[in-house]
Formats: sequence, C-alpha cells, structure tokens
Amino acid sequence: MFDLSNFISPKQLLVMKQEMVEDTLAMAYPIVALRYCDGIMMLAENPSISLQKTSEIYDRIAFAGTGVFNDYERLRKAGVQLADIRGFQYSRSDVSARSIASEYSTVLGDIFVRQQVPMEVEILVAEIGKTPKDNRMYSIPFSGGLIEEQGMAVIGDYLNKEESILRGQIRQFISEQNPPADLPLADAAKLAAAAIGAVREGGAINIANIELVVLDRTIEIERKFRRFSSEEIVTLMG
Amino acid sequence: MPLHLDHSDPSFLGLLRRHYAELVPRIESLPPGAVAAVSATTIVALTYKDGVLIAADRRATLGGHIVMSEDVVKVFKTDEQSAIAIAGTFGPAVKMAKLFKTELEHYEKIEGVPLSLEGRANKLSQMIEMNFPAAVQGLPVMPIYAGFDKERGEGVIFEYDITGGTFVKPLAEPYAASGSGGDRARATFEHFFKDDMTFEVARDLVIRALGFAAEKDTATGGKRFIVMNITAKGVEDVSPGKEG
Repeated sequence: MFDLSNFISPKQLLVMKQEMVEDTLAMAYPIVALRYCDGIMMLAENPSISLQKTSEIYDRIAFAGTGVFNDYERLRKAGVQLADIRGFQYSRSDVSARSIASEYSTVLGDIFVRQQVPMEVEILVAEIGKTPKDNRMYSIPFSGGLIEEQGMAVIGDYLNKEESILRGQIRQFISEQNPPADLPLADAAKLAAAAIGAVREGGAINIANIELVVLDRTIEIERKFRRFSSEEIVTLMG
Repeated sequence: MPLHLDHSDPSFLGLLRRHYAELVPRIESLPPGAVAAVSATTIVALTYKDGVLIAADRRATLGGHIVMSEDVVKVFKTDEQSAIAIAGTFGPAVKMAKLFKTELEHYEKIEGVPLSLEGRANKLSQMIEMNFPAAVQGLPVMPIYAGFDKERGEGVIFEYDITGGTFVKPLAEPYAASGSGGDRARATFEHFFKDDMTFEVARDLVIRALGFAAEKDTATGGKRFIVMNITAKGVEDVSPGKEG
C-alpha cells in the first residue's frame, strides 16, 4: 500500500493532517456545555431534526460531538458500548466520564498519528455528580488531548491561522456574565444561545435550530439524561 | 478495554458475542449428582383497566424444600414502560433479567429510539432459547414480561416456555402465572378474574393468587411479595408494605 510516511517527515505529516482537520472544524457548529442549578446543560446549533450532536452515554454521562457526522457518531456509539459493558460487568456506579474520556483520547490520538486521514471531530464528555462539586467535563480534540473543564466547555468553531478563534469569544462572553452556580435552566440556555449568537455570522440562532439536552440530578430514575423537544425549547427559551 | 468502532449491530448481546465472549451467560449443565441449584418461584401477571400488574413472592429455595432466602427480588423494572419477572433457576434467571435490561437500554441509546414492545418480547424469546441446553439439563429460566403498549393503550403480557415459545396475553387470557406455584395462582385468576377491574381490585387479586400458591407450595414464600404496576404513566412499585 502506498504510504505517505515513506516520503514526508513525520513532523510535516502531522502538520498537514492538523491543517486538514482545522479546515473542516472551522465550519463545524459550536456546542456549549454549561453548569446550571440542577446539573449540566448542553446547547448546540443543529438544523437537523434527527441527526443529533448531543446524546446519552450512561446514567449520569452525556456526549457531544461536532465536525464530521460519521466520525463523531462512531465515537458516540463506541462510548455507549464501553459504558454498557462496564456497567454490565461491574456495577452502574463504576461507569465514569473520566475513564470514557480517557479511552476517547487514546483512540483519537492513535488515529491522528497512525492513520492517513484523522477523525475530523471535537468531542465533549460531561458527567453530573451527586453534588455540583463532583461534576466533570472533558473536551477531547481530534489530536487526542484530554482537557478537563470547569463549569463551562465549548467545542466547535475552531478557526485557524490569523482568524480569531470564535470559541474563545464564546467563552469570554459567558465568563463576562459571570453565571452563578444556581443559574436556572432557562437562563443558562439563553446565555449559551446568546453567546453563540454574539459571535456567529448572521446574528442570533434561529430557535427552531437549537438542540438542548440536560443531565438533571433531580430526575428520579437512574438515567438523568433528558432531551428537550422543539416545543419544550420554545416554551423554555421563547 | 478498547473502543470498538464497528457498529452494524445495535444489540448488546451481539456486542458481547463479538468482543466479550467471556461475559456471555453460559451454564451448560450441572454435574451428575450435584445438589440442585437455587430456584425461584412463583411469578404472576394480570391485566386490568389501566394497565398491567406483575408480581412475585420473595423466596429462593434449594431443591424446592430448603429455604435459601426470603428476600430475593424476582421482579425487575426493565425501563419506563415494562418489567420482567423471573422463575426457574435463580442464577441464570437473574443474569438474564440484567442482560435483558441492558439490551433494551443499549438499543435505545445506540439507535436513538426505544425498541417496540413486540421487538423486546422477541429479543427475550431469543435469550430464553439460548438457555435451552441448560434448561433440558434441569436449569430452566421461565420469565414473564409485561409492558404497557402505548399505541394500543393497554397492558400486554408475554409468557414463555423453556424453548422461548411466546404466548401473548390478553389474546388468549388476560393473565399469566409461572413457577412451581403457578398452577394455583392461575386457578385463582380463573376463578376471580373480571373484566375492567380497578387497580385496587386487581392488586388484591394478585396478592391473593400469590397467597394461595404459598399455602400449598413450599417453594413459594407467603410473607412478602413484590408487585409492580405498569401504566401509561410508567412503572411503579406497589408492593404490600410500600404504601403510606
């Protein structure tokens, strides 16, 4: 099989791969995860109705991915498999976002270094703890790094070169509002949507294109994940 | 534990078979002359006006006459619209219930939509069939599965034999009973069943059926029962002693 690495230095190869992925991710929709009074919410701009960017991994763990659909969809399913296997083999309480995020990081890092075409994604794994202090959020870039986030995480809209990085602006917008830990869900969702709207070309997001999910520790069953329907989003944020 | 990136099959059991063969429940038979494994009886299900009740006693016995425990749980909520009760050999039966619950959850998460009630009942039938080699060696698993069918707006019961043969209620009769005290429980239903029973009447009948079974069957405990109520609103534990 023809292998580029026989002709190009490894360093040059990684730079080429990185540029390729960054070009794709510059067009990806951003996703904001934000702590609120009852847990963690994730808000994404997504014009598609049935192809979701955010989803349930396990009882207290959620996933968000942006970039190329087939890549983050494969990672999402792999995460569900890993979580269910672990919960079946040991116990439900032994499934943690930390170990799933670390597996993602390993796989993405391996693929980035060893395969000619890396996965063009950026993903986020969030877990609610028994108390807000035990919340965990990890973002994992295409190259396999693992970043622990506190209270807020933003993935997507990763612009390269001299252009400003919108993600930084989204973060800054939210930080400037200094959201309290007991922020109600409606306010958290509005803040996330406003932050994306403030940096986005074309202004505010159309409310019909908003995808909203929460990990809510007040839900009484084991599975704390909940997806809001478009009607519920309008009621909440309208 | 590596991440697998092949996802053509949304089944959790399929995933176990492909990548975790050591986790697939597999008990072939007991060695000849071994003391019989712990078994669990009696289980019942009954449809009524608003949905379906599924219930069991809490005794586990060795060889049908030595009481191992009066506290075992034989009814498991599988999701927000169904529950499973297990009779037969305790170990494999509980494992099957756990596998079944994971299977439903896994499918829902992978596919983004839950399996239909009929789809779930078929999946369970395949799992029972998988246990058939052990069943003919004296280690049967005979569950009853009950759920609320949102499209039809009524409770549905699926009863199984050891080969995975599926009997859908209420097409034949609106109740099911299985395990060693199952005959007496079924006879109780045959005598006292009425159409359109209220929740209170149906719950009393379920408890009475389990009580009659316990009177004559030593493998059935008469003190404590678990009763689950499945309606359009979800699955609720309505065991005696839970109220108030």
